[in-house]
Amino acid sequence: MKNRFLFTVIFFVSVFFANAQSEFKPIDTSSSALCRVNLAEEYKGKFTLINKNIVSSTSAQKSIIKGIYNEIQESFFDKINQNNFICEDNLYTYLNGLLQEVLVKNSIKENYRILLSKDGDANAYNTGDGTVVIHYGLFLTLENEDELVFVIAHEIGHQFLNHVKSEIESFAKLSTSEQVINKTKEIRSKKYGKATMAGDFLKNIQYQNYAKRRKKEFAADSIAVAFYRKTLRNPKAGVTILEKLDSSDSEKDSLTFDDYKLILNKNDFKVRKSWFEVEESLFKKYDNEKRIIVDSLKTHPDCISRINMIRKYAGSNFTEKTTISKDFLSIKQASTYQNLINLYDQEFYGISFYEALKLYKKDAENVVLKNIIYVNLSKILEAKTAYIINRYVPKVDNKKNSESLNRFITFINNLKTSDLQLIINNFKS
Amino acid sequence: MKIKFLILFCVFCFVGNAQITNLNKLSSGRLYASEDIKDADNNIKGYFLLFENDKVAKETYQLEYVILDENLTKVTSGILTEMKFESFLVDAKKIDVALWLDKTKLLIEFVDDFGEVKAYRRYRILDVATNKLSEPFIFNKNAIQKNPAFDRKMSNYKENESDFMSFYEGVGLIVHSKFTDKKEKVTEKFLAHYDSDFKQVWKFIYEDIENTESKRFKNLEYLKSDKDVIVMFNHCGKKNGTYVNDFTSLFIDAQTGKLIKEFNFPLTDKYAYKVVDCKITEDKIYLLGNYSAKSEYGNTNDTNNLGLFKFVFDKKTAKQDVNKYLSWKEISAKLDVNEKGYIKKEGYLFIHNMLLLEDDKIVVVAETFIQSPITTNNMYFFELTPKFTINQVFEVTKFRNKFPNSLAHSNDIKKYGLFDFKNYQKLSDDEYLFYLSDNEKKSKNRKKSLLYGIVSYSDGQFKRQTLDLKTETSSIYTMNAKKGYLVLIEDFDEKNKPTEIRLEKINY
Repeated sequence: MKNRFLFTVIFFVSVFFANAQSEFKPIDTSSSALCRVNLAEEYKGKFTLINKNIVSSTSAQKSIIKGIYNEIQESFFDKINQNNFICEDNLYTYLNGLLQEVLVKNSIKENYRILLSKDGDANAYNTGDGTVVIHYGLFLTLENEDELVFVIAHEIGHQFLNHVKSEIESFAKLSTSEQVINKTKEIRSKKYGKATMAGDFLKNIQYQNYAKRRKKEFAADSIAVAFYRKTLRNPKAGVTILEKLDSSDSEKDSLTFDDYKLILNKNDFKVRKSWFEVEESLFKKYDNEKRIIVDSLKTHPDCISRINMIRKYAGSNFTEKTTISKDFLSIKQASTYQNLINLYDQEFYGISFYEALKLYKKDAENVVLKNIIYVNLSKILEAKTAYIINRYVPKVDNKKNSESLNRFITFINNLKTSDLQLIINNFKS
Repeated sequence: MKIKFLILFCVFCFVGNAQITNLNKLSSGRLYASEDIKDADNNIKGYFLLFENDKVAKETYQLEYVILDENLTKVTSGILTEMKFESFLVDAKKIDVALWLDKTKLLIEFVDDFGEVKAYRRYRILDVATNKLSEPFIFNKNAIQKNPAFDRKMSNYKENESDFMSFYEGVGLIVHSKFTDKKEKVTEKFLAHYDSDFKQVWKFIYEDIENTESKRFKNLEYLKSDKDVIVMFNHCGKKNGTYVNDFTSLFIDAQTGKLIKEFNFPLTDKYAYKVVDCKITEDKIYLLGNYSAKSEYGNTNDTNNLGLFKFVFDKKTAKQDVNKYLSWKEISAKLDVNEKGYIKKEGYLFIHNMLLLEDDKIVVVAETFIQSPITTNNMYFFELTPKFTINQVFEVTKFRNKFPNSLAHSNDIKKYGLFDFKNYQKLSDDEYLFYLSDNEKKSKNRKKSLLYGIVSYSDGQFKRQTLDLKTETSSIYTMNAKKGYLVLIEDFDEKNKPTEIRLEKINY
């Protein structure tokens, strides 16, 4: 893992700096090994303190709370060990500046921490210990700094209202409540229909939990509006970011057979139509998850409801002026390429290659993209030879994937290793 | 990149998944059956899974079925209530399923599984265009009965049992009434074709014990069909239920249910026959198989196996056009096999498949074995010319599997899955992939050193590759997959590392 990471860094740094045409500078990850150690140390201390201060009225509840914290903390350490967090001083200073802006202007004295993860989807989360994690992929969606500050304010809102802690505690209380204990006894004593009764009861608890969570999302939005307002930034940001997130689920570009011909036909390599032929599936209709009544279980209320709520709280005197700082602009400009590198680092070679191809079809002279394609393809060839390609390239999914993505996956799978080698040679600098 | 979530308050997910353990245990089901949904070319189109969710009354269970597509994506699922036999003396272990696909309809047979015995057959049809599952139905007392009232009393067994039903390729739903019972006044053996509204289209009575003077009784097994013709194999038997060394094939008009012709296998005073594969083309019907010295009950003689046969018939008239035999002696120039199908130090040849290619060539899949102790050895792939002569032999050496203190006929070795040949996939009319399991030689820990053999036949060339499923940190299992692919299931030793299910394209 360490070697792979180092190689990537050296490779990208050398290639990208060698290219005078491109102004793209990948994030310097040379200190990532040290950063990983430091982060692990920092959070070890933080988690020890949290675990030590768990207070509960009964030992049974305490044990459940400990168990949940343990699960969360183990998962967080996994992320640290997998180099999920980006450690770069300038980026950290910039994001921490925005975090402090919200905290200081709202006189919040508690200890908060901000981290940037390599995840490619437009997301952010609060871990419940004062840490706000921003996914790098959020920068692909953000248009200005104000939107980012609103997202940070939302996550601070969750922490400020102690949502994680209260959720864990109420879960522990429910698990040990007389209601649950008696119900479990009652179900056990039944001769028939035990599983159905237990399932229905659990479902009911889940519905109640999800309803509470949706309320908490609204509460986080409300307090985010209050926090954000004090930053004196454009009040419209909460609305615009939610509008973008609402429509961010659809793929913006695609790759056709002609695109592949245009991009890949070179030297001895010729794209064949047969590589894209997908055998017709027997199934045409896919059910939605029947067990989940979407409206009852949705953790997050739909964006429109949230937008309306924010409009109501924020008032409608929106200005058009937005903040686009130099730092934000620099991250935003690099985000397209950097996201591809992050995907590569996270071993999503197929998606990194696919997204790079979509950009490359419009910019065939781009050396950065050419190199990203090259490194991804090399990994895909290795994986194909070892029969582990599906670890790095998703499988065809007629329910979730776009037609274009399924076409890409079919193409990659149908390529013989010798064909892959030909393409790699064509992208080798 | 698809974005699945909005601003995520992720920790709540952990809490949501942390179920209340006892309730969760009470509500969880168990897997009853997992079956591949295959098309006529033996290629995977999806998977059918059946779980027991709950016991809701005496002998009554709530089951859940799940359908996955060829890419392992969930298509649909549903709940159904089924009965399962339980008594003071014996309980059915589970409900087993069998599947037949006809265009967009999937016929599902549910049967109480007692281990060696299966009883209380009933059927449902899933329409994959709408994902709707029909009510159960059986064929009993000469009619299809929808929603039969199952009470599972032994005294009522005959009321609850269905005759065999299946989809015949290109034809549709066929009822095959194989057994007669004079006491119950069931004197006819027949095939009956029903349409999608369960209306009878035709009925073909192939034996009526009240009106026959013959001492030979028919035992029909389905071989192949298309929209024009149904081909059945008949291994004749005696009144007492034992088989004899006599075989015929029945060619039935698929539109009318009328017999076109019954073909008597030749030289039954000398030979026993087994049809391995049957193929129907635009104008011909091919019966491809294995013949041996005759035997008392007509099973191919494992230790006096003589070779292969190819009988070709005109599709319209069922008149025989070609009658070819290929004795093992005739291939001895290319393979060191004696006239009884024995290869030194390996065993006798067992024929798994005879696959007709577009240019009239045939690919034969064979594996050597010994009856006692049951031993399976190397595999051989033959390419036969259109004239039914040997063109090439491809040997696949593999680990010798031996089962001490055992004895079985090759048909039973096949039935119980003891051969190493697993499956084949038809990639195109002239391209096939063959899968076999193997174990590394000199391996101390066979579980961790499983090899998976893949033989490809493409451009007239056989090639072998071996997937090493050995890993120090996990166990890997294989599963049938869609055309050209293999499902690998990797279970990691590392605690909390989830099992990986990968759909991998075969490199060939």
